[in-house]
Amino acid sequence: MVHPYDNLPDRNFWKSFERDFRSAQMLDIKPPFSELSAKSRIGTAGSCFAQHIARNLKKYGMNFIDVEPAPSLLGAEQTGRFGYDMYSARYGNIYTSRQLLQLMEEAHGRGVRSPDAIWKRDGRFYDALRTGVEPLGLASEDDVRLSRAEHLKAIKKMFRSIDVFVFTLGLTETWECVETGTVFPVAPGVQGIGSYAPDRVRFLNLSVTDVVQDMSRVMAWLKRINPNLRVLLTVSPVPLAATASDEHALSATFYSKSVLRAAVEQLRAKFDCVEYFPSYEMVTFMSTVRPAFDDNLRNVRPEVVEYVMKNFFNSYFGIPPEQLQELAPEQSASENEADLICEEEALSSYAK
Amino acid sequence: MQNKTTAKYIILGDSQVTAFVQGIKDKGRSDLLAGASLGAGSRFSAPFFSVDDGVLKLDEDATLARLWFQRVGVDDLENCRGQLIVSMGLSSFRFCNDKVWRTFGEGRRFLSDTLIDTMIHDQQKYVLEFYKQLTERKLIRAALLGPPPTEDIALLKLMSKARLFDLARRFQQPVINYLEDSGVKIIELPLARKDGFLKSQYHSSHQGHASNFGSLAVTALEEL
Repeated sequence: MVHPYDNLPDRNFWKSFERDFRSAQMLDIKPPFSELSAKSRIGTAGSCFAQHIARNLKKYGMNFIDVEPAPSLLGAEQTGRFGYDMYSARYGNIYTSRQLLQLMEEAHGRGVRSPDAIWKRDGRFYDALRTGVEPLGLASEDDVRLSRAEHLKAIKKMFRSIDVFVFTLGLTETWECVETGTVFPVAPGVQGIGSYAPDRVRFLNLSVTDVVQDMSRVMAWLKRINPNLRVLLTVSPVPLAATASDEHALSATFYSKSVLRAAVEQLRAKFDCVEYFPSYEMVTFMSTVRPAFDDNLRNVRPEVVEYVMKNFFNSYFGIPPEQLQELAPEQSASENEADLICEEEALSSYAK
Repeated sequence: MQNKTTAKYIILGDSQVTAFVQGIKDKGRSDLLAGASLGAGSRFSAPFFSVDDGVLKLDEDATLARLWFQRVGVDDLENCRGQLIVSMGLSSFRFCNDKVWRTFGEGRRFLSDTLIDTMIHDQQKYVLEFYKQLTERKLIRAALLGPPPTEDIALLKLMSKARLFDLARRFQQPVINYLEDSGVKIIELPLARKDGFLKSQYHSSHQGHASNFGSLAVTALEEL
């Protein structure tokens, strides 16, 4: 060996990336753990972009676990409106590490959050921790509690029954109840649900340390519940719809994504069972070659999602793109970011 | 353009039609009614008709639709102006007996009222659109309300009587609302006991249907 770079594989060199990426070839992403198979029981959660992963796992017949499936009489086009078919359970989008930790703790009996977690609009009641799953709210506070209790039971079941948990970190910005520490996926008052009182709810922008600590506690829970569970992390490439910080939305977006990306690296070093899939890098860097986002510079273009998912299946399932289509039951329409359910998107409407 | 039927009214719709036509036949009043079923109620929760160049057409790929035209002696729904009696979306038996209630509902998984209404909307949307087409074209004369449930309906093992009747009412309500708003008469035969269940003399071999109500059916048609 003449120097440390002498015997490194092709994938370690930017030149190989440039070649593969420009020609939309599959990237040589190191498989995590051991390769996954169609039998691997996979659960998903995370920020809006994570919905693509769930959709594609289902589309290509992988063993996607859904512990809260939609009622059969609900039309397919309605399921997302009610939080079904988005992820492995009906938790809606989980944007932050704090939100995931909170959910884990609540599901396993730590922390009763209901007093500050039921919001109102027009006489209807909403689960503040997943406002998006009942678009018109529920008839009573008791209904919210009942629905939530069942949801938490389902989540426990889900984490016990999966082999791999795919989690997409989306944001660092969140809103916290001053009194109880409960974090909310969406600020109270957005879309008229709940009411914002600055003395009761404060803005929180998580740091790398925060995210690593949150996720380490999540990992501790997961180890206890399901010792063999493997965790595949991704970072959402979707920019923030709005920031509540003093920064420009662009800076706030890159702060958020950089924190999440750095935290993931620390988590990989800390936990053998944690891996990372670089969908964030693929999408953001795609812009250097061809447009990666729609005109709003936020929604990821369908062909880019397709490229990301092809890499996902190629790297982790060993299914090359040419074989992938054979697994789909029929020719499906391209993935469309605009079809995703994203409560955070509501913030865009507040722009002047 | 043909309408060879000699009957005053022509009925089409779900499986309730068969029992209704039989009741009329039993009373020797086929002069009042012709028609046949287009299939089970589930058929109408998916697209079953189209409007091509302004012409309303039943899905001709369905054998039962072709048979219906042959049996009734008309070649086009548009030739049934003011004659049609429709039995669609007004029998809650199938909805109330769906396997979904084994998983969701009282004592099982929570299902919000909004979600139930959305499911009903999904089930009834094509039926409502069909009624709209029939009303706008002045083809419909009346709609037929399905019979009430029998007291031995298996569903009562899964839910309370109150819940059962609530579900049945919720399912029918969007269609009833539309028909009432549009001035379309709804034929409701007096088949129910005071507690809402089907009177025993009208029980049929099929739990979702009634029978032996021919006289009531004849009276209802004569009063239209």
